[in-house]
Amino acid sequence: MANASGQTPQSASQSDSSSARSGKGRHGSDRTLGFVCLALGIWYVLETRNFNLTTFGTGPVGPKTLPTLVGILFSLLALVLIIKPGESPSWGSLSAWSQLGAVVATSFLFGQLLEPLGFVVASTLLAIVIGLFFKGPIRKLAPMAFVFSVVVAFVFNNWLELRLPAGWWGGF
Amino acid sequence: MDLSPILASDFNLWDGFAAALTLENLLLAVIGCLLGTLIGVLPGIGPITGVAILFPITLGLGLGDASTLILLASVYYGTQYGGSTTSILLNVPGEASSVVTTLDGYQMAKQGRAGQALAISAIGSFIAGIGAVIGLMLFGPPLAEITIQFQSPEKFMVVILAFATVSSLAGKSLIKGLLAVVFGVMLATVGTDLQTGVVRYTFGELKLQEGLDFVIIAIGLFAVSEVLTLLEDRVMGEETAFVKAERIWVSFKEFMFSLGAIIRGSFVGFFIGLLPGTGASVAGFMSYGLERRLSDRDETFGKGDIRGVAAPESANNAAAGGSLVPLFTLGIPGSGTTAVLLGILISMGVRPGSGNVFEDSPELIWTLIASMFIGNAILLLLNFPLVNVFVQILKIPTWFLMPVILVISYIGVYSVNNSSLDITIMTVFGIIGYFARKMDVPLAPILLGLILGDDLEQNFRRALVADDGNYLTFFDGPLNIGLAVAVVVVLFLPQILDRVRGGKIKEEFADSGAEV
Repeated sequence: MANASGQTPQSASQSDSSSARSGKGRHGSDRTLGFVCLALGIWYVLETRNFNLTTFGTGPVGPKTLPTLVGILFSLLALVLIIKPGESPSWGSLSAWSQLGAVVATSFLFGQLLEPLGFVVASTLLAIVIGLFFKGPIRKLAPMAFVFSVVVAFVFNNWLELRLPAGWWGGF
Repeated sequence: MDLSPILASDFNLWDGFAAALTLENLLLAVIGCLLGTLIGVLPGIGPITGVAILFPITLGLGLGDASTLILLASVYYGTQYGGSTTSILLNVPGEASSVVTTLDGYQMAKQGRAGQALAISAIGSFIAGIGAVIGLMLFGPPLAEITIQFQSPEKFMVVILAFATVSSLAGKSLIKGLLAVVFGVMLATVGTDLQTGVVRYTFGELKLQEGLDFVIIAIGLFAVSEVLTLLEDRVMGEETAFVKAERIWVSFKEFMFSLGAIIRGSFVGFFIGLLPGTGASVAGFMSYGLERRLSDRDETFGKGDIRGVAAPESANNAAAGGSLVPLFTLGIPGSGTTAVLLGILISMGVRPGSGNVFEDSPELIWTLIASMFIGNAILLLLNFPLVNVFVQILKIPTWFLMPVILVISYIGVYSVNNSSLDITIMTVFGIIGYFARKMDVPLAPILLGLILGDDLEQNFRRALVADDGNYLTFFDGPLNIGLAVAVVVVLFLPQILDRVRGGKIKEEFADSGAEV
């Protein structure tokens, strides 16, 4: 869905040069993914030993059977990827990474602050911070973020049967 | 042709029309078409994100199941129309399925014939959409009859077939597609095991005992990762200059000139849509190729030939309709969006593939089918006068649009359980989705694995318990062997054809933007 609009010839040529610069090898990404998946698969199989099996759980097939098979299959697929990796994509610059990290951190923070602050305040803050990452001018962004949050809160609380957390701001 | 299942059962197509034509449902269809068109016009947010974000919000409206489905199906249809609009006016496909429309559509717009391109796209989509719904009515009920013979082993194998098709065709690498679908199944095992009450993979978190909600995962994987990807690319953001269409019209002569392309496109699209895992983007691409080979005598294709717009636009709409046949009969979705629709159907207690939905839930299915006729008509009527209005949404700057998408995603997710933990889970899956996109790991299989994982395990265990743990039970009987052969063919045929034709087919699928 997305790649269609995102992939321009320009960005493709940029990716070639930057991956050459980074010198991490052409298959590094897929190998790393393979090792991460392998570790996940092994953990997933071993974790079945911690299931609290009741008397129901015994017999030829129980709650462990499918997870064990699925985990083994996943690990094998990961091994294939490690042995036969594809080309690595280009990984962005450090500043791009720190921005992504900041957006993710903002999202986590929003989850934590939503209930104590209430929807309108939390949403306004979130919209401003994310908008700034997309280089929005703060003078336009701040009022638009606030108005948008108030409108959403009003619509959700009054027209839809969804209650957004009011927090100390009150809300509607 | 035996029309009795369509017209003579307790609740048939006419009852469906009666239900879909109530004022409330008509209004919902109009709203859905409008929203869908807007979502389709915006590059970046696609049909999956649109439907996934709107689903929890729709639940808040307290609508009946049929009305909810009408709204969401209209959104799905609307995105197909909206996606073509930007292909023609901007050279930017709003959806993967309209990539190929840019070839001749944008050329026409540059020559001042944007109005004709938009008109033929709308008319072609309408004819193809109606044709596909008729096809669905003819093929659906008889095909669904097969499911009556399904026991647990067959149901298990059908789910495996669904997994095989979606992982084989969704991305560039089969291994990554398979990793994705198995990962999805692993996610499905999180929570309390229904048969024994044993708690699995919850890290001691009480809220995880109910399992992971597919809506939350879908919004994380598709919507949040989209915002992260755009932040990195910044492909949007610059002021978009688009061609304005003065008047949306097409002469009778041009219509007749395109009619062959529309009809051929509709057939190609519908039959490609029938094949699970292919989807609308492949259909557009194939029909364009076919039309060029058949009709391009003066080498006008790619230079603004109206048939180069008519064929793919008809095909992608017909394919969207055709893909509902495997979805409604076997429970095999052809794309990420239909996977989300399947998840929604399951959450309403309708399980295609496990029973005959045309007999078990006729009200829901026939109302939905009737609403598709109506939705197509609404879209045709809306598009002619409103195209220039829709395009205005592109003037909304990215720095405002992205926060809006995020905030709406967050409240959608929050409203599922009123839980902040869900927002954290969504963000985690946003990160996973971002890395997956970067590394060409397709996202649709992850979602399908999660949605069908439970079914897979229940049927797996039932089948084995019934046959004393004998794994050969999955290959017992002609139906099972047929399904197993189908799985092998689906997994390896594209690879074999690749070898034979020198990597061409996979490239074509991948280049055509086959659903991420």
